Amino acid sequence: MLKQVHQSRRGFLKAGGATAAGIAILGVAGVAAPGGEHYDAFLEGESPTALSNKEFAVLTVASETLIGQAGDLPSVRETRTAARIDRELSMVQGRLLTDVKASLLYIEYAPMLAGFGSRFTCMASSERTAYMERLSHTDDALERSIFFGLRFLTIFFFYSDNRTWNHLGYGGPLVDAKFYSAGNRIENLEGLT
Amino acid sequence: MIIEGHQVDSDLYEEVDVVVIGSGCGGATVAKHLSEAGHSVVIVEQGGYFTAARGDFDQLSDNMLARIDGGRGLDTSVNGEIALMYGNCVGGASVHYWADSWRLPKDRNEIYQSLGVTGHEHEVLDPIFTEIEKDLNVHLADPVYHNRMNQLFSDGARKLGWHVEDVPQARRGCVASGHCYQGCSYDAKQSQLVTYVPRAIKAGAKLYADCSVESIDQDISTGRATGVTARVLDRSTGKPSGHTLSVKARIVVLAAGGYASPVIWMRSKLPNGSGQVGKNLFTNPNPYLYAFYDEPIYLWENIPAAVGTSDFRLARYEDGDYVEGGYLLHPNQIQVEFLAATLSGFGDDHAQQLSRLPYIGGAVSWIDDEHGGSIQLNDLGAPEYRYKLKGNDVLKVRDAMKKQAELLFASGAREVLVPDMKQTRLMSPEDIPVLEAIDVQNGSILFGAPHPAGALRMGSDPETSVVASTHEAHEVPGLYVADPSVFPMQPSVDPSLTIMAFSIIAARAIEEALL
Repeated sequence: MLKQVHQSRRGFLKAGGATAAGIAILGVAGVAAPGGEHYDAFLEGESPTALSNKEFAVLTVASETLIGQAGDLPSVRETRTAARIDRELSMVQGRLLTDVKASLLYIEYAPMLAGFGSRFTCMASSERTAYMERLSHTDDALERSIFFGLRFLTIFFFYSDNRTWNHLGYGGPLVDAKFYSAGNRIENLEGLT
Repeated sequence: MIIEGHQVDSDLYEEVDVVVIGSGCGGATVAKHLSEAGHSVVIVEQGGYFTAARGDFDQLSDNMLARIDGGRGLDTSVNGEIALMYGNCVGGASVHYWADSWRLPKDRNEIYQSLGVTGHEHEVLDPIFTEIEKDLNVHLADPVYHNRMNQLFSDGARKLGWHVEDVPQARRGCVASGHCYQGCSYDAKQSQLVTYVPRAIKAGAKLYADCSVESIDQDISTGRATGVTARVLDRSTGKPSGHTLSVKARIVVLAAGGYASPVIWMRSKLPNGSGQVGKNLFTNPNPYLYAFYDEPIYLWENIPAAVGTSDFRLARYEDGDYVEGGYLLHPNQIQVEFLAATLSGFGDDHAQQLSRLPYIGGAVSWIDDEHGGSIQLNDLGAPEYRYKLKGNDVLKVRDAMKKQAELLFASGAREVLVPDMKQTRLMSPEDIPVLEAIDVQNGSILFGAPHPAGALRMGSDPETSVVASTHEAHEVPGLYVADPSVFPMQPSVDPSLTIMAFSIIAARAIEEALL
């Protein structure tokens, strides 16, 4: 595993992207799991615009791992959390988009070099949790940035879905919602295909 | 008159006395003052125009970040250590602020003077603060507005022997919804949106929303600021609509806020003989702790910080070594989505922990940071904010967390939760020394950074500062800066009232220049 000592997150993510890209070459050589069809299976009718199908699939699986399950919480697929993040990334563009893309690539391939033996999307649920647990306690600034960046996005968007509020003990707004054309709520998403 | 982007169907040209970039505490104050004095004023605001009357403030965190926050609420420093919190709407950051309204402390004013700031002395500011406080109905909150966390904060602080004070509030008819950060749905919080912006408009100012300033224009031969060129934005996409706004003006006022004004300066390729443009970026990073109580707290309800303590506002040193303090200490208030995202952990354990969310309380501090960061433009012209906790600021963060933990336990907390990557938990006051050693840097904790200041600093020497005490740029005649970028260091309290007061002094200087 890379052990970076620089302080620039931007620099880290560039390094992360390069590392993941290098591992991807191994994938092409047959070391890793299958490609396009493998990722398309995670889409379940979603059509990402800012992220590629592959990046969207990794985000979906990472979101499930980061959110977990408890009580009457809906699933990240029911809340379309990854699609809402994709929508937000299509609005904000810039550094956030490139950082998230590089982070997802890293998450997908780095487990192979961390002793897990397969890509993130091919791992069993318990292995994904173990890998995330490892990331959550890392001292590596690149991995720390990747983990906390994805964690914040995923948790914020998941828990801004009103179906999660009962679990939080939150009664919701005191005024009516108003649709915002530049928003990122589920109402802003295209219907599932 | 307020013109929004969707109402513009051709390129526009204006010729006025004064063009003001930004409509927050700085810009709206200058615009109101000058328009009421009879000058023609155009305000150019990058963000959209949102109002309670239209139902825009719908209290949904995701919708409101997208509507009113710069970077749609998701901007961070390059190293991911601080979240950049700033406004992007008519009214600026005051639309999402907590309405805390402090005067600049006299001791800090004296330090400003020692750093070359003149004409802003305590006795000059005193009547200005009185005027602003009257306009914004600044008052101490009735106890009915003290939420449970405020009450616990007071109890705990008094047990520890700390002085508790009421925090002055800029509100009128507050309904205690708790949705201050999402923008007030009731026009009760006295943001610039409902105070100085409408007064400026009533006095004849014209405001263009959804207009992003591309450059401050200069006369080639004299270097004097002559106006601005802006692009009209399509609010639904955030992209240029294809139309432009050009404003020719005798005076240009840069008031886009502490994060954005230095960027406009640099993009305009204005001179930087001092080398100080974009330097000295202070942000008031805010460490916070959460805690479990035996009773429901509902950390998202009512006024955020009706009380607090200033006992630790000034840092204490002995023989040059830091001892304690250098921050305000307040009860925290936070909406559920942000609370969920800032509580450590992930997966099933995190989800189960959130089922106890109503029982979570918290405290927060605003660090009076000594070591500034910087703002630079990358190869694409996009800003990069470089900020890293270091030196005494790290010690202040640790000390603030220790004081917060003391207070939370003293107020009845059963368990204190540190929002760090190691998911540190304190089970009793005996565990507080653990905070001496936890990692608080390099993104282990995401600090909010709501009060950017200093990156266009004021001073008498053009070799070491960017603007003079008149607020006019040393090297660009006719360009005035009226926002916290001019502060040579943080005010050590919430800056909103100080920004407004300084901006009135800027407006007076501009009036003289227009004679």
